[in-house]
Amino acid sequence: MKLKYKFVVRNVSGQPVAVAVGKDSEKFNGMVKLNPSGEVIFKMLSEADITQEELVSQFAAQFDITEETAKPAVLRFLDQLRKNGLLEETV
Amino acid sequence: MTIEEQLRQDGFVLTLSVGVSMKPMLTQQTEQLLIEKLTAEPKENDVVLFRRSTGQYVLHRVIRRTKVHYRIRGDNCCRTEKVHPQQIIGILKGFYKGDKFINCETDKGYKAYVILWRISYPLRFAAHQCLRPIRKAISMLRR
Repeated sequence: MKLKYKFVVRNVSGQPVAVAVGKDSEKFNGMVKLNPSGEVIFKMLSEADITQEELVSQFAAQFDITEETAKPAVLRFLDQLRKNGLLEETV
Repeated sequence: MTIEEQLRQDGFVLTLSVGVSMKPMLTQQTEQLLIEKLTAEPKENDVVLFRRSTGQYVLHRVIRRTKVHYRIRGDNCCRTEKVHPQQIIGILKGFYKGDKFINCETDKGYKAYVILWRISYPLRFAAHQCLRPIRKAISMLRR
């Protein structure tokens, strides 16, 4: 899976915010406010095509937690992205 | 959600530049603009977001404040328009050019640009007026 559009993440007064860039801004012209963990997942999804398992594993490693602890947070965030039409399932 | 609703909800909005009316400062879909909800009266040279009576949102520069309205113009425009204070909903705090954030309140390069652009307006206006008949003739020939 990967992000449907090309985004750039900016820090606005401590708040990570993502906006679509280039031609993609015509398809998605809102902004996505992220929390610190959301920012990490968002960046992973924008850097490469990645499976859910890889995402959970990399997220757990990044925050030094177990995959069991990481999984619900990652799934919740992915669900939010899906609901907002921002995720592209590639597999 | 409209940009106005976003400003009301979050106090700021990060969005991409659209159009060419603020060239050369802002170019189509290149810069990410940080617009904040209006909390104080805009000053001369501030870039403000306002809503036209047609519902269109426009980001242009304040040229002058009169008793009843603001005179506002895009950096790439020759026409100045009258805008009532209640039409103004946000102010440009800064923008990203590449990875660099240009703060409209503190960036020296930006301030120099504003001075230069304001001073050179009569010259640009004259050039625009001179080129107008030529442009018109070219467009008629193309038809």
